[in-house]
Amino acid sequence: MISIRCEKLSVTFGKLRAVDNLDLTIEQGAIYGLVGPNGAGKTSAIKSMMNIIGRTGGRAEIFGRDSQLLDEHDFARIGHVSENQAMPGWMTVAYLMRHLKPFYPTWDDARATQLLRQFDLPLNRKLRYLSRGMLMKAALASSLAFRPRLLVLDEPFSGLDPLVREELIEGMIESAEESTILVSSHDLGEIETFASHIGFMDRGRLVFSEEMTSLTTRFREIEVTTGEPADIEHAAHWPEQWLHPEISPAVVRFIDTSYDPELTGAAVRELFRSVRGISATPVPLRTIFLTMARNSRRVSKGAAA
Amino acid sequence: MNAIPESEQRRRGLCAQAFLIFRKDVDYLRIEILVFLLVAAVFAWMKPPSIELLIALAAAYLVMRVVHADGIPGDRQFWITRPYNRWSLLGAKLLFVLVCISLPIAMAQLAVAMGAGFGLAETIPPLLLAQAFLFLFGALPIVALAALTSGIVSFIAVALALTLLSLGGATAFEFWLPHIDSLPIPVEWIRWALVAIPVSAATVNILVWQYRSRATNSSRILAVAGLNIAVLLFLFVPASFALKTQSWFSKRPELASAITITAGRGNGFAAAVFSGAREATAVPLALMADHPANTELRADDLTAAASWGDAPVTFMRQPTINRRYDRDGEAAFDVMMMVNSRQYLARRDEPVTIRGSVWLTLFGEDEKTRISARAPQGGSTRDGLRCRVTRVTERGVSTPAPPGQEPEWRPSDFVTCAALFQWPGKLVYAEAGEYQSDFRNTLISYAPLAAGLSLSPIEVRPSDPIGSDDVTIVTRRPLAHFRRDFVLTGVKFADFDLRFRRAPLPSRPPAR
Repeated sequence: MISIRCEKLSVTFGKLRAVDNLDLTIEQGAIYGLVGPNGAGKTSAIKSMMNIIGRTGGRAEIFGRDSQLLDEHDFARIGHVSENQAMPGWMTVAYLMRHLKPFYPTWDDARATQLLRQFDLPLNRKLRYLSRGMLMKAALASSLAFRPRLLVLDEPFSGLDPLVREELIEGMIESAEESTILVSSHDLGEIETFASHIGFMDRGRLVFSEEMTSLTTRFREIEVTTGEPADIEHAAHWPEQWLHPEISPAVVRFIDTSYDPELTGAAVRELFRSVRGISATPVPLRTIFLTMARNSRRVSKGAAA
Repeated sequence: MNAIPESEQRRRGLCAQAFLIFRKDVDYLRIEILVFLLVAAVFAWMKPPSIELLIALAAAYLVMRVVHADGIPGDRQFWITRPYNRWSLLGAKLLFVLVCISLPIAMAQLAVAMGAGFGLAETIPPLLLAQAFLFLFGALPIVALAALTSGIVSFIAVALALTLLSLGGATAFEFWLPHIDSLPIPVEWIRWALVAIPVSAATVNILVWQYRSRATNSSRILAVAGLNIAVLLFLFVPASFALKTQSWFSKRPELASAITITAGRGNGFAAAVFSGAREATAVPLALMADHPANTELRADDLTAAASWGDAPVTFMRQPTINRRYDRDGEAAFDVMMMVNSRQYLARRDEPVTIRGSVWLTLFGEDEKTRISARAPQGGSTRDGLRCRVTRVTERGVSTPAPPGQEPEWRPSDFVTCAALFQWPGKLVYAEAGEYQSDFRNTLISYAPLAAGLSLSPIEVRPSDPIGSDDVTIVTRRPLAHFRRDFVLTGVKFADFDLRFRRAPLPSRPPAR
């Protein structure tokens, strides 16, 4: 069962193509981390999926329903929390929960109480007087209390201290059993700890989208120790999937984006005449992100040149 | 047990949602609502129109705030991804306007009307009509405007821009196109009714587009288009169209069929006047009409053209017509026909043919109510007018005094009549013996509805001083609106000349 499907989704603002033919599929039960540099189009894509802004091309579906047709019945199953959402500052936390409860048939009072306690939210304080972290927790609590089938979080962790991040992630993960979660974030260290799938967006396009396990298996930092200084001329035959090379007299390092122990080893031996050792180290998501972002910029600069 | 049908469940769900949002808005704006209630109470206590503008501004502010509480334009609003039904949201806003704005104003109007001596039963129908007008043509356009904006600054900026656009457009048109028809006051309501069509259409469409699809850009274009059409209609409604439309509302058009009209030379002489930026010559004409006994005739508008054989025609509209007398089934009107001064001078000795059309209204079926100053509550006519005679003991009327001396003042009686919401579209006179005083009868409207857009529930008009405290109030309702054409031949403009020639201007003294 598919929770979110985008087919060639495009969003433009004037001449700016914020989302460019985005193809994305998120299976039910996935915790999908959508990452990418600033201006990659993550927020625009999410806003279009949530029918907050219009699209200029393609299609987006939520639970098989065109996102432009989402109505109150659909939103009764969707929790949406965004860093730039304007919350009604005049409401207290308790008022917010009390006001929203009748709108959700699946509202769970016990869960709401547990979330408020878990997030340590001051019930009688107005939202406008809450800190940013508290506000995000209040928004998340109001979006988890009805046990949503889809939880969409747009940059929920930016600017928050580690303790609040941890609390938010805990709250989110607790609902993962019953929800599909789409979370966009710059906080790659946090995403890595809970995401089951990762999508990388850059310049409005989805560069890759795959399971976390496959991604971490595929990306390796390869360190090749050579018996003689590495021949720079070999760089001309450098495979495309080997990114971000660092070449020193006896050591060559690069990120292999399609790591396979046998194939990578064979390719290395073919390229370098005297290979004394090859080591392959798993890389954190942050390194994958930086490698892909830099490569994307390099490619676009080359294309422009 | 019968299961509740799905459509009924859905309807109840939508109503329940609307009520939840309404309750939230009341909680949110409770202080503003209290202030507005206070203003409404002051409105009832101080009596309009002294506080009319304040209550209108306060109502507009409250409407704007409630719509912006769940604003439409933008992509940051909290409610967009919450399970709010869009129609429930709109319903909640309209419910708020009805309960928190219309109802307090209606209660204040009721208090003012009852304070002026009107009964509950006679006040309620025009009150409801006035509230319907205020809601449809006052509150709803403000709701639509607020739905196009996201904050108080943009709301005020857009409102100011639209106002300046309308006023600027109207002023520019009046400056560049001074010959645009000005409508006679009795049919002014047709101009407003026409303006209401594009305004209502734009308002309804904006609300539907905004609350269904949040199509703000399209809605803003529609708002500007609707406003432009409204301004154009306001400026360019031809008087002939308005008068012809009014004739469809004649209650007894057959009474007009026997009425004939003849034209002749009027009293006085031709005189140069300025009409707009152009110099014209006013030529006095007289119109005489026969009409059934116990009826009264009023001329609402006149157009006349002068021609000399196959020569070019000078044509001017003349909306100001003075009734010289109307008695025993015969009426006479004095009109000043405006003629191009250059043509007047060039062809003043040639025979001229004057063709014209006059729009008339026949009033009849007089109804009389006698009131007395000795009854402090006065009397009530069948039209809902409450009239009373009041004696002004100090400085009632004055007699002219010789130059340098103070006029002599003496007490006098005046009749004051109050109407609910708007003065009836009838002729109203105060009769005391032979003396008859009108109530600015040239300023009545023939609108078929008993209320307009005014917030004030009472319109009061005084008569001229009247010499008795026993007064009869006479009203006549309009029976027929119709046009009659006339031709005047065998005259020359020279016949209208005052027989002296202007002395030549002295030559300019030489410069020193």
